Amino acid sequence: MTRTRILYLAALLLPLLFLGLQCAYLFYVRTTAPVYSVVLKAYDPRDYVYGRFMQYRYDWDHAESQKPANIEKHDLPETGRFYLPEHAALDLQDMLREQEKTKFVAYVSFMGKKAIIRDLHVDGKKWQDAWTEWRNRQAPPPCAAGTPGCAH
Amino acid sequence: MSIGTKLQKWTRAGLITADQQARILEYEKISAGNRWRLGLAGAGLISILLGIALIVAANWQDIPWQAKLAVHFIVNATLTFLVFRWWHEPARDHHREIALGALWGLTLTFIALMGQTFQLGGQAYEALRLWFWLTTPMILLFAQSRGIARLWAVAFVFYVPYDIISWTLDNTINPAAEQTVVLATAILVPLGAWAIGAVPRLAVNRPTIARMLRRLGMLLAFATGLAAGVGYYGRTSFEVPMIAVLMAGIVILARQVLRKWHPGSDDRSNIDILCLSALFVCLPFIAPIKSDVVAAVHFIALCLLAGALFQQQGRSNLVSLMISLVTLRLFVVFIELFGTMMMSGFGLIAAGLILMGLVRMGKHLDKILKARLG
Repeated sequence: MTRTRILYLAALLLPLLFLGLQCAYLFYVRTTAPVYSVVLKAYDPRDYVYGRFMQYRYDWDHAESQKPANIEKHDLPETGRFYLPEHAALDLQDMLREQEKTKFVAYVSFMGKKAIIRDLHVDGKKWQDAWTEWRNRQAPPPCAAGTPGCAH
Repeated sequence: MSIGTKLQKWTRAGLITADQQARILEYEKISAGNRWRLGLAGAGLISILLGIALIVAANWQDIPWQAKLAVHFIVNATLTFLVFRWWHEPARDHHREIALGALWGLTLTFIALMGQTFQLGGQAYEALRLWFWLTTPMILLFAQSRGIARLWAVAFVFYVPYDIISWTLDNTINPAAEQTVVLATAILVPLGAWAIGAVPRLAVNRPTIARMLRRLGMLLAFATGLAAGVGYYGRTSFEVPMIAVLMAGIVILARQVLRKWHPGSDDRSNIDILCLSALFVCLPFIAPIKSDVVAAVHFIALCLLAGALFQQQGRSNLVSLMISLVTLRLFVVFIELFGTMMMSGFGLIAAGLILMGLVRMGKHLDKILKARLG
């Protein structure tokens, strides 16, 4: 193989190899790095949920928040975002509007000084469970056919 | 103007014969014959791909993240293989370009998918930055079509300055450093884009990308030269005026070097326009005067000088553009300066007379110079 051919092949493979290795590394971090729980604060009281992702502030000063010992407080990230399925994002926005004092806790790992969010809990439950409960609660109560006012 | 009208005009002017006109029209008719079939097939293919994409999107949360990443990776790997396989097959040129374009776009979506899967929480510009630099070698070495070359060149001349400036603004609060980086970027990126596009090896091996870089370099330089005039509206000081003087010096030096490397008359005129525009970028920083009139003079002077250089090159469409810009700017000047219709009316008449006088004077000077040289 000539040098030119190798150069061309390297340029073509660069994105694929770089991103493949990055994926492997992120998977390794995800499975091996220690996990810290951090209480979240609203990024902006009007727009806590932004369509497909939720943007938030880490509340590192909260008594329940954990942080790695090897990172100084001023180096810790201030904000982050959590990607959600489209319908879940919209529902979570409604949950936040309707429920008072909802506590969001993120479980994060660190890649250097960058926090990678692993999971999100709402009032101690996984966000999916909290979301499912909220959706079921929204369903109209069943009524027997023929009951006045019951739409069948 | 349609090709039929143009051909009729050329036939009447005696540039081509009636037979040649008929043969050209016949050739155009044959080469356009596949357009209908290919267009419909293309629209059908796009429709199918969009349909598949929407079905996948509708069930996105039900697909395991490992499957999403694996399938995306396999698609990208297949496209990479196809681009390499079709690299030296002229019969597959179109296929290769489509595969390359798809691979280019899908590399960005793969980065976005990684961000979503691993909840990296990054910003959109960070994904764009990684994508641009990661795929640039591939595009520079493999892209042959105008479409991809245009897209890449547009991304280069707009994204690179944005990235440099946004990175600087994120990492410093020193106004002198910020202004220096903005000024250097406004001057050096267009010059750099043009210079890269004019490298003989690139121009021979990647003519489409090279031509696009030269054109966009010039466009960006000229647009930046005009936009710099905005500085006269609000600026009364510049943190490091000597930097602007130094930049102007670098531009003059760059002009000498580039003219030496590119002795062709068209290239030299282009270099003059590039460097002229770059010097106009420096002016508001060297003499920070707050004045509407100076802003207008800055704009009009650059258009007039560039127009004169385009006239020398015989680029009539660009000369017309310069005239249109000057005319529009004159209207704006009188609205800005006088406001009332009566005053603006007198002002426009005076400006028109000045412009006509300038044209007459230019013609007279040209005649004298030609007579002396001849």
